[in-house]
Amino acid sequence: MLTIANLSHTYRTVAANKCLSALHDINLTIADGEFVCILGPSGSGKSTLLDIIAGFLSPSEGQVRLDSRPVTRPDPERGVVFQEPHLFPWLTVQENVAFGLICQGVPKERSKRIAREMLELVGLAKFSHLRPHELSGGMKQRVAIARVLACDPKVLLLDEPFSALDAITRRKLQDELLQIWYRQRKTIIFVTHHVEEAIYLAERIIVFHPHPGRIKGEVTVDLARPRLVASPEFQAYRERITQLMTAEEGC
Amino acid sequence: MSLRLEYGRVGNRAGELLPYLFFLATWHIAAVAVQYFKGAPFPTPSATFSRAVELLAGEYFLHHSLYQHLFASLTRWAIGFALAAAVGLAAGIITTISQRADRLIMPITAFLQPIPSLAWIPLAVLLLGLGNQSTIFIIFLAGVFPIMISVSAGIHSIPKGLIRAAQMMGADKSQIFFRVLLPGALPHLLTGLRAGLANGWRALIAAEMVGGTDLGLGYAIFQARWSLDYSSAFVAMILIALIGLLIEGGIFRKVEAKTVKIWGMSNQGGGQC
Ligand SMILES: Nc1ncnc2c1ncn2[C@@H]1O[C@H](COP(=O)(O)OP(=O)(O)O)[C@@H](O)[C@H]1O
Ligand SMILES: [Mg+2]
Repeated sequence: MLTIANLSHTYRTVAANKCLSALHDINLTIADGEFVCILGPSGSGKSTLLDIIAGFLSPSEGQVRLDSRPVTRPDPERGVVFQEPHLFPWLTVQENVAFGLICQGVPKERSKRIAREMLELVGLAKFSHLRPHELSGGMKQRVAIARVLACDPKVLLLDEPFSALDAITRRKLQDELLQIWYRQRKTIIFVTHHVEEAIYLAERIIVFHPHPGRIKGEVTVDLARPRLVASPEFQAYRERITQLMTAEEGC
Repeated sequence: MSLRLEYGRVGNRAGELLPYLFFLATWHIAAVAVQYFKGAPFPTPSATFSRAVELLAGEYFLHHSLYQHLFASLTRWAIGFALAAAVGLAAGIITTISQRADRLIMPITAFLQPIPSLAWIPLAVLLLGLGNQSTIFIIFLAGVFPIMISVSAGIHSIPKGLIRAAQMMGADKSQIFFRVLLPGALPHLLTGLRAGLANGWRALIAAEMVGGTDLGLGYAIFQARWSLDYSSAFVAMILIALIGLLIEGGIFRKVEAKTVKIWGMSNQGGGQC
């Protein structure tokens, strides 16, 4: 279980010596195996929250706990897929996927085998000897997912991972991610600013509001899968969430 | 336009030779003109060529063979460059690890770097005396700054996301250094090493001219003005150019072809991946 308690974060900009409140008093509990989307406009602190959960950033106040242990630094138990693929250009696709295992001291042959399995899982087995720059955007993100899965994390953190992809590729990767989730039942925290993407993927959507970033509300998506974007039920959710996002707030 | 087509049809081989033929022709005409109008012993290409054959056969000039001059220069260059690379790499890496070191070293570098390395000759001679050591010192100075700056710039050019990616996959500090920072800095580093090597080579020749050595290609070229042995000087100059081309094509191009080219990283900075 992942718990976020009384979490606030303020950025201090060195140049202007100003403070910017990016997150204000976030409280959230995410159960094991849950697929949660963090939905909000840009500037609502989604990336800041994910960076804190990943352990890249320590919060100004509050704490994140995974299975009651406080998060203090990055760890392979919390795998991150970034908006950009951030693959290592000097490594082949397979070496990129094996990177984490090698760093953790897993023997070479075993790392290779696991990397190949993961590439199989994301449908890139044929491309294992290419370099990242030879791949399309969608393939790069598949590698980014595969290298995280290779480390067998408890939690998968994804920060707008498909936002740079075309609509068709995006849908394909969304479906692949869902397949992985069905099979492995890892906890997934998926950040997006796309209402449709959130409804398509999530069991539960946490809606964020900017300046300072805070939770506006949450919606449990109770739709059978595969979800049909054109269905009236889907549209109803879209209405409801859009309203929640745009509703004015007296503060 | 038809000329272009013709040129294309002749093929790449001949096309590549053309600039050299043009160069030799210009040289020949200039040499003959200088000899005619000024009466100076400006060597023609063919005179230089026959002198080159003699020298390559082992004939002495300035009490040593061409090979001895060449070997002396290459040795100094190698030692000076090796020192520059070692110190430049170490200092560059330290500046990226320690903020304090960065604040200490970088302003000094910024101040010293614009000084042409040859301007250090009086100091070098004062400290190290005439001869090999001060020449090596000059080569060292010519190389150390570009190498140091390139390491630092290379490491800083690495996207934060790459380092974060390594961290979340469990890489520790030394793994991040060897598996992310060093390869990520390579495009910049190659540029710096190349500049350091070329600067060193240029500085070497000049330092030999005034540094009080009695051996070396630079020394040989400079002495030719007394012996009027200009064709030997030309042979030495051509040799210098060839060495430069060899290092560039034989080493740097090959290293690049095996690394940053394959990786899809431009030579100008960190790749976007
Ligand atoms: N490194 C930083 N330094 C200063 N301010 C930042 C930094 N990163 C983000 N911010 C600010 O914090 C707020 C939240 O940013 P972010 O978490 O990136 O939001 P989102 O991912 O929802 O777009 C924004 O106003 C942004 O300008
Ligand atoms: Mg963001």
